[in-house]
Amino acid sequence: MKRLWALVIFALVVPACRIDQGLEPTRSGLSGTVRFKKQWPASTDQVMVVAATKFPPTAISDIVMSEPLPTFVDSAQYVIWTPPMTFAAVGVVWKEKDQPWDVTNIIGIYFPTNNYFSPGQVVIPDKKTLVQGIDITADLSKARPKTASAIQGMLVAKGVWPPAARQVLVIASPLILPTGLLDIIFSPPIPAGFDSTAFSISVPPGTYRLIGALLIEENKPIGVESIKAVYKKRPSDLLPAAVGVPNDTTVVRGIRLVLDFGGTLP
Amino acid sequence: MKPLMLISALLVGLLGNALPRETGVLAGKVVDKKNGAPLPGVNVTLVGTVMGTATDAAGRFELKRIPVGTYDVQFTMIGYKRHRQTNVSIQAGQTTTLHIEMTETVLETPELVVTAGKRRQNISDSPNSVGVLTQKELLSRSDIYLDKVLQYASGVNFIGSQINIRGSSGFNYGAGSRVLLVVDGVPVMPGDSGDIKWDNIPTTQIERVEVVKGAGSALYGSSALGGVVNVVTKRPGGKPTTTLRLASGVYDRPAYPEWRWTDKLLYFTDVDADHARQIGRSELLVAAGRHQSTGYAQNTSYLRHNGSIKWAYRFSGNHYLTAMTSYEGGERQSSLMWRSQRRALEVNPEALGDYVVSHKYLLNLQHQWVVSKKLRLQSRLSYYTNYWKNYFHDNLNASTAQKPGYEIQADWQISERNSLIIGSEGSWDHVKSGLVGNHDQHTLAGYIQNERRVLRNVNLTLGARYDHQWVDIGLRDSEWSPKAGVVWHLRPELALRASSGRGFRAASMSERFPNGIYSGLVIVPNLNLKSESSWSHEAGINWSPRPQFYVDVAGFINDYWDMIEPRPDENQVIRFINVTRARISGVEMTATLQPIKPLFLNLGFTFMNPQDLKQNTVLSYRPKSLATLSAAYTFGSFEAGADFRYVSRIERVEVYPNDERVPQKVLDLRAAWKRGSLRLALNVNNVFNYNYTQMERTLMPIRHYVLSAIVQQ
Repeated sequence: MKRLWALVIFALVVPACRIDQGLEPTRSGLSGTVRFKKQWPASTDQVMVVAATKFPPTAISDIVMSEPLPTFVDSAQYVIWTPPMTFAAVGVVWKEKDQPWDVTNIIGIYFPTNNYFSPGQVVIPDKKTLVQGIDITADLSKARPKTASAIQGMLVAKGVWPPAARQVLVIASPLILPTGLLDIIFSPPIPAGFDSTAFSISVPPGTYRLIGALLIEENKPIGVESIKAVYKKRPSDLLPAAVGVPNDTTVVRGIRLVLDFGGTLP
Repeated sequence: MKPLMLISALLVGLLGNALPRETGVLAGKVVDKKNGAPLPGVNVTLVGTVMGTATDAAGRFELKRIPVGTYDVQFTMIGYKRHRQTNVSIQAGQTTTLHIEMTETVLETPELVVTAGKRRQNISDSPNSVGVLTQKELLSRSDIYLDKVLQYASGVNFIGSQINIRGSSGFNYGAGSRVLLVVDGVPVMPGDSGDIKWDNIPTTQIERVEVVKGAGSALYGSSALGGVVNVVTKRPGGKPTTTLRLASGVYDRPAYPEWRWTDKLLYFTDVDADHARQIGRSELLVAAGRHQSTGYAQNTSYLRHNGSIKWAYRFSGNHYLTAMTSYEGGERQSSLMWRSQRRALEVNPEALGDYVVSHKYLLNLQHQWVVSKKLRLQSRLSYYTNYWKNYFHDNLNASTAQKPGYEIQADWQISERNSLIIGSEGSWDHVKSGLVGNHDQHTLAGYIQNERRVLRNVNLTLGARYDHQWVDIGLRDSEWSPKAGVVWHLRPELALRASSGRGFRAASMSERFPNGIYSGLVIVPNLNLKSESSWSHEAGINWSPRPQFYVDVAGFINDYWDMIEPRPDENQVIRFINVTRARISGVEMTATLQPIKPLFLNLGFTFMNPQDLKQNTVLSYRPKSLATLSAAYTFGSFEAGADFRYVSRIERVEVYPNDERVPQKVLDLRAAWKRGSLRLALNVNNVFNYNYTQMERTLMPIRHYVLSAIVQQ
């Protein structure tokens, strides 16, 4: 019996002696410099660097944020301390005073090449590496203060959804041929699989020469080929139709976008 | 009105039949058999009746107006073997005197509990698992707030301040609780947030804490989905007694240089005092305390005060009125989450200086009347209010939640084998809040429970409660919560039990009506939120083959429907919705043993399988295993002890799934020396300076040393 008690006591003592120290300070992550160009909007509240495990991020759990950067400066250093993982994109997000965070309000993205549609992937390989040189140019003219203006309409799907389809984003750009992701305004994501659904995309006043729908597919980077629908006045038109949003209270309605999975790229 | 009339008629009928004609008195003294010392606080019960009392500081007791007859009298106390005096004769107009000697036992398991059946019953007669923290355990752990001590109760774990009994609660951002907290039977859940404020009553003012596991809505209504925590406060005393407790602690340096955020000494001090005395037919307990801390992390300091008065008046031998009023309040800095894991003991610079001012008041008037040996009537009127105001950089919200309430209950001992309780409870939540707006919510409920010995050693419990709630936006909700339980005493040292019960929780106002921007996130109301519900099933066995060994093993399955959780929509706008269908099944074992004479061991293990049946994944914020191991060694006036707590790594979280998570492995050591009226103690908490989170991005307390002194005169 005494042996049994000794065993019980031993079983209690041994695990206690093997206690490690649990969590440690993060010593891995990514860092770089953000260079700001153009004028700081007066309504600026905060600016942060955001690293996203998928692009575009669709939930707060998809992102890791830096501390707020200094505002009204020409450039700022940043560090994001994070455990080892792979980020699909690193960007700079702008926040307006008295407004919630909006991770689609992006003013800069890390592009390691001249392909401004393809955000640079950043890999944190181990718990000791701080990846440096993730420098970003942030264009403050891309900051979108909150307005009541919007473009609204219906998304209609035709044909069979690709098995890897996950979400659809409505996009709006002042350029017929955007030069990069920063020329595009994204709507919140809409889950794939619908036959038809209403959409609304908040846009500042201006003329939008490209309105379309972008398909997000699992494990597939986004590119021009991800644009699956473009708004045209008539289907036979060659060019996309322009939509004017004259002031910050205008809501343009009746835009119909058809995702035709049976056809080719419009 | 018909049910009320029926209840009144029933009570009048009972009273008519129950009022005694010829009565006598039972009095006496209870002492320790070994040294003859008087034993205060011994529970004295007339078996098969509702009559009972407790011994005073001199070990004396007196029970008046006992109907003439022959009785068995039971004497129970923690740390002593149960004593049963048979065939005690009560004569008309005479006093029967007993002198009882009780034998010390090695096991310190409580004999009587009051929470599981809303009446005093032997713990082995409860069909539900019940855990009890005694005053001795509370004092030995040096923590002034109850949540820190409850972490050592078997089957209990915390996510931040949110208590989980067998994984019930998960984490809901402080909105609502799936465990009900009652103080002396009064629900103290503020109407705005619906969560538990653990600083309501400091541990120095608590006599014991009972934790009932599994759905308790059949007696307690909303929020008792996963269990009930009942805080029984200290009784006012007979002999004048003054107790002073001084405690001071210092926090060690963080384990890593990156986490050192200040060169200042980080410390806390607690000063608590109470005085109890008898004045004529009144017994009084007055208590006050001051609790101050710099905090172990940036922006976690606090300065809190509390005070309470408890007054008991005896109209006659079996007729009492107890009034209790308590206050707790002060300032507490707020640290929502760390700056980063790199700087885990700091907050974001803009949140530096954020703090909350809060004040809580509780008033509880309880009337207890033992009408006859068969019938006891209890009633209470209570009022609880919680006020808070945020002084945050981005938020100056304030809220006042008031909750007046009542309860009436009749305990009818129909026969020695058959008892019935019947009662009604009501409350009104009146909230004025910058967070949820101004709202009122009313609850009216009735409950009934019958306990009957159906065979020689088999007790059957059947009960149900009906709750009706209405909210000022026109919303109404009704809930039936039935329960059934059986206990089979196979042998005196062996009992089997099984129970099933339904639980429910009405949405709190902070889930139904929140509106605003918090920490950069938009939260909006959901007026269509339904109550969530559960069914708890449990089967267990407790076995004590020898005085040195007690073990209890239980298997449980808890099913949940329409669990309320916050979910962001595609615009990242958060609203609380009925989202999850879940099942938590598992096994729990608790044991108390004495391997060698001066050494006591308490062990608790819980293994759970928390499943989100809708998403077919592990339920978020639930660990799969819990373990607590406590050892206490007593040698003369010296005591030493150790407490180890293990909570397995939480597999799934919702907000920051990419953050690193670790299991919780915390070892505390304690030593105490007692001489006369003085007790000196040293506690070292989190000895290995183990770093872990419960709530995401909040590092839990690092190693700290506490020196305390208690003087009782």
